[in-house]
Formats: sequence, structure tokens, C-alpha cells
Amino acid sequence: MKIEDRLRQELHDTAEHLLVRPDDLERVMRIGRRRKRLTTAGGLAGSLVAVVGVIALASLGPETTPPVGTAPSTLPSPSTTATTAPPGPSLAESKGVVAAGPAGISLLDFASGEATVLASDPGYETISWALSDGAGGLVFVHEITPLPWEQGSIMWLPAGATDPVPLIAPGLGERMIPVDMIDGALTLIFTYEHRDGSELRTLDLQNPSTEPLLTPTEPLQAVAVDGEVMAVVTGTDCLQVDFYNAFGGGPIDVGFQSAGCLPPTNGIGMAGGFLYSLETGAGTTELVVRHLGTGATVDAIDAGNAWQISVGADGVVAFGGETVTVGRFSEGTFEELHQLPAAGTIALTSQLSVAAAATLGSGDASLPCLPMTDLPPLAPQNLPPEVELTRQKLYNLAASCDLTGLAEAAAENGTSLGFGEIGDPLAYLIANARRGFDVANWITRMLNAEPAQREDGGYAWPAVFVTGSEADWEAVSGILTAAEYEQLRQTDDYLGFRVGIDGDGRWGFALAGD
Amino acid sequence: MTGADTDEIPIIRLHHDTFDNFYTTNRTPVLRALALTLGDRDLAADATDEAMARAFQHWKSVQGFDNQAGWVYRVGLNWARSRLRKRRREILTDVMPTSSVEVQINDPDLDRAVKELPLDTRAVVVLRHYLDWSTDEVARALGIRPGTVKSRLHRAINDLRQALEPGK
Repeated sequence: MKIEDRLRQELHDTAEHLLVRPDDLERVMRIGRRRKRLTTAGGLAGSLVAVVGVIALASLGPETTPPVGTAPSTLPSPSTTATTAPPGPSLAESKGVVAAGPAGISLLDFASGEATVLASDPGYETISWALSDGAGGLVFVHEITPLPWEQGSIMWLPAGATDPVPLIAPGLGERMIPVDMIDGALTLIFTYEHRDGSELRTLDLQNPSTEPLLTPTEPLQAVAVDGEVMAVVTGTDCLQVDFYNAFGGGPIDVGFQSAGCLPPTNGIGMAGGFLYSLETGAGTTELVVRHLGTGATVDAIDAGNAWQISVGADGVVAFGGETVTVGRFSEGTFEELHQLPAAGTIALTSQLSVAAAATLGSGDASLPCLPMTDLPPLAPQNLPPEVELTRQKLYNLAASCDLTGLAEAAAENGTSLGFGEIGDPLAYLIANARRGFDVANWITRMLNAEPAQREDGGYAWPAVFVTGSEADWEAVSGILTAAEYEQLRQTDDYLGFRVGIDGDGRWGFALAGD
Repeated sequence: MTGADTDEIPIIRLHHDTFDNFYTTNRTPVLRALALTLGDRDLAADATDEAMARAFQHWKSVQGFDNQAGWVYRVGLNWARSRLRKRRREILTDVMPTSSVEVQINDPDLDRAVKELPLDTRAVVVLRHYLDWSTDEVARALGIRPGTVKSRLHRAINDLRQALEPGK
């Protein structure tokens, strides 16, 4: 029996005999319903933060016309000759690679040879694709796009920015995959898969508008861009490669066309030539480079178990399976530069130091929190001195938007800022603020409310969290918006944001939910 | 759809408009697929419940996906992956790990060989050979390229062959 058949049969047999818990639809819906309420309640507090920097999503469908005011369609014409690159920012020398994998975005600095995983910011979730924008920022797609963005949104983190910007989102049953950037133009080429087929389009990052670039007659399989040359592989059983001008100039002659069918390939690239991985039939893969101009094979190296090639700068290529290798083709030889274990999609970035900071996930360290300058001094409450001292300290940190100070205080006190594991408190506070759940804002609001003493001697704000009394519900309504109040009243217990300080002054918790 | 007869297809992936219908049809197949992938029945059950709760929470969005079960499988797998990382830390720090029931393929040689495969490869194998999804469907469900699916399957079958038929 073939291995595949044996495997299939055994998997089915094993699954059929697996004893599983009975369905519990009610329980699952109860959990989901509660989270839905809390997510919405948290988001209301920081709506101002969430609005900052949002660029409206451009919706796209096959029938959609480009937005008014954009450049005319740049659909290639067979008779069009190659055009030159439009003026744009000049690229600095590449300093490293950005790799997106299950752990998030990683950076490999060529100078130090060290990789930094930017997993400290949960706001990024798991990244499935990342590309350098060529100017110090990143273009990326989440595996599962966090709310409030639409599933499959292409995101942009410009150099120096603290918030990613949603650029465009696919419609129902559609998919958008970033392919590459047009050098120096802050323009992304992406594949757009829809019900009627696939096409290549461009997307202007700064003014999110999209233009058709190429609609192949055969199914689109792979695309790679280097400079102004774009290699496009199409076909089903017989793969063909054709070359186009990446600025919409139509087909171009690079000195060779694929004679017959391309061998089965796992991926293509453009770096010092046209690259494709070739399955040798002996279970290994070779990486083959064809010279643009003559079409001659200039190099072929054993790429081990290579499964993906992504290229981001002149002459540099990256490939890999379990380990990604980055190297440079030079005069027919392959010079290995770096290895990056357990990486995924790779892109080169030219301004690594600007593009990312390990603790914040992006450029400058400005925090997504708005200092609340109009707040009056906090009126003392009838509390033990240690408790009042902590209350005043927390209020001052929160009112001045000192997330670093709050994170340090939380670390010192072992404060619960959420349920389950939250990781680095600072990254957690920042990520929440970016999502519209501004903990600092909530702390200032809650510490203005009346507290109640807990059974263990500590205090909690607002009092309704402890007492649940109608009088305290009434009191808390004064520090919540009407919508927040309505949502929180849907549960018997108060599950909204609350702050707890123990009897000895230790900051116990600042969280919402149950 | 390839691979098996229609009546053997574990997931009926018709589009579901209501969460109730979706849950009733897909919960058990997704749970079984995750159990085969993770090799841990209880972890798979927890992961399925967690992913289903998230599907309900975000049903307005999930409802529009062309492969709702694929989304739930991936969310469950990612959730389980983080639980496994945490469990490893608990073992390192002597915290009592949560209980688990190992899922064993009846054929012990095949069981051993499958468990030797990396988790991501096992996911591809299970979606392709248990749920009988096409290469493209697996790629979309896992958010990877079809070429990646093919090469992982190719490698997996080679590894299994090496383990089960070392002479060939």
C-alpha cells in the first residue's frame, strides 16, 4: 500500500475511535458573548486614540473604479516600451533582513549578526507576510487580522510610526498578497485574487489608491520584482515566465524566455538574475540563477530543503525551510551572509534602526497615550495612608500618560493587568492603548470614583465592583459614558475596569473582564 | 476536493449563515483534526472550544470567510501552540502541567514517524490527508503558499517513507 493511502486510512481510523467531549454550544456562546461585551466596553474608552492615524480603507472589487484624482490606469500594452523609475527617495544600503514567522516579526542585523524578535508587542499578532517598504518601514499581513481591522487587511508601519495603518482589505471570498515594492516609489505590487481570477495591482502607500498592473490570461503562480524588472510565472501544468516593466510599461525583453515549460518550482526571485528553485527529483532542491540578457545559467546551488525565495535588494537572496539563509550572488558564486533559524517570509530593509525598536515594535518611542492635562488634582479619600499614597502615585502616573512608570510599578507590585499571561507590562499597556483600550485613561477615571473595602482588607475602585448595590451602580454611571454603562449593566456583576490596592498599599490589579 | 470519496469527507464545508449550524457541523471534525495534529486529545478539545468561542465572538467577520472551519482550525492551532510553549516553561519551573491524553495512531511505527514531523508539517499532513482538502485549500487555511504546502507534504512523505521503509 502506498504511504499516502496508509497514512490516510490510519488517520481516519484513529479519528473515528477518538473519544471526544460532547458538544457544548451554550458554553461556547456564553464565553464568546461575554468577550464581545468586554471588547466593546474597553474600546469605547480610547476611541480618540484609535482614530488617530487611521486612513480609510480602500474597498476593491472587480467592478470598482479607481478613486477620483488618482493616476490613470496603467494596464500594460504589448507595444509599450520600458519606462524609467519615477523619482523617489534614494535607498540606503541594506542593513539587515526582516523575517515574519510564527513568533512575529524578527530582525536580523547584518552588522551584529543578531536576531531580535519583535514579539513583545501583542498588537502585531502573528504575521504571515512582511516586506520592507524600502524607506525604513514595513508592509505586512496578519495571519488572523486583529479587530477592528478587516480580515486580510494589508497593513503599513511607516518608518518612525507607532501605529500600523490599514491600507486595503479584500472583500468576501477574495485575497490580497503583497508581492514586492517598486523601488523608491513607496508603491506596493500585490496579487488580488477574486472570483473571476487573479491579477496584479499596484497600491500607493501614501495615498491608498490602487491601479491594475497586469491581468494574466493564465493562472498566476508567482511574481518577483527587482528594480524595474518583474518576473511573472503563470500556467497550471506548464509554467511559463514572462518579464514586464514593474512601472506598468508592459512586456520587456530581458534576453530570454522560458523554452517550453519551467521545471516545477517552489518559488522564484529576482536577484542578480532570475532565480527559481528546482526540484531535482532526488528529493533535493537546487537554486538556479539565469542571467538576464543571455538566459544562461550562471549558478546553481544546493538549496537543501528550500521552499521559498524572497528577494528584496539587488543581488541578495534568501531561501530556506527550517533555517533561512541569506546570501549574495557575485560573479557566479554564492556567498552566504547569514542564517536565521525558524524564520518565514523574508524581506530586506534598508533602514533597520529606524524601522524597528525591540520593545515598541516600531520607530520612535512616542507612546499611544494622550496626557490628560486638564485634570484637577485628585481629592483625598478616607483611606489608610499607604493606600492613599499608592492611589495618588498611580493617578499621577496615569494622568501624565507615563506608561513606563505604570509598567514599572506593576512589575514591582506584581500587579494583575489582565487575565492569563500578559508578558512585558509595558508592551502590554502600549498594545492595549493602540487597540483603543487606554489603561491610563481608565485608571484616572476609576480613581476618581468612590472605593469600597474588600473582604481581604484591600480597596477597589469603583465600589460597585465589591458591593454590586444599586446605589453604587448609580454612582459609577457618573464616570462612564451612557453606552459603556448600558453595556456593563448587561451582566449582573460589574465586570468593567477596576483598580485594586491592598491594605498595605500594594497595587493589586487594574483590569476589566472576568 | 481530492483524495477521498465524497461520503468520507469529514467536514461539510458549505457556507454557514448561523453560528449554531456551523458549530454543530464542524466542531467534531475540527477537534479530531487538531487532536491528530497536536497528538493530545484534551489540548485539542480546549483549543477547539477556544477557537469556537472566538468564532462566535467575531461571527460577523468569520461568517464571510469561504473556509470558516479552516479559520477555526488555525486559531485553535495557534492557541494550542502558545499553550504548549507555556507548558514547556511550567515543566522547566516544576509547575505541575495540565492533564493530557495522548492520541495514538493505531500503527505504532506510523505513530512514531508522524510525531517526529514538525508541528507545521503535521498540520499540513492532517488537513490534506485527513480532511482531504486540496493544496490550495490547505494553503488558504494556514495562510501559507501552495508551494509551501506541496514542499512540506513532499518532505513529510519522504520522511515517513524513510522511517517506515528504510530499505527503499
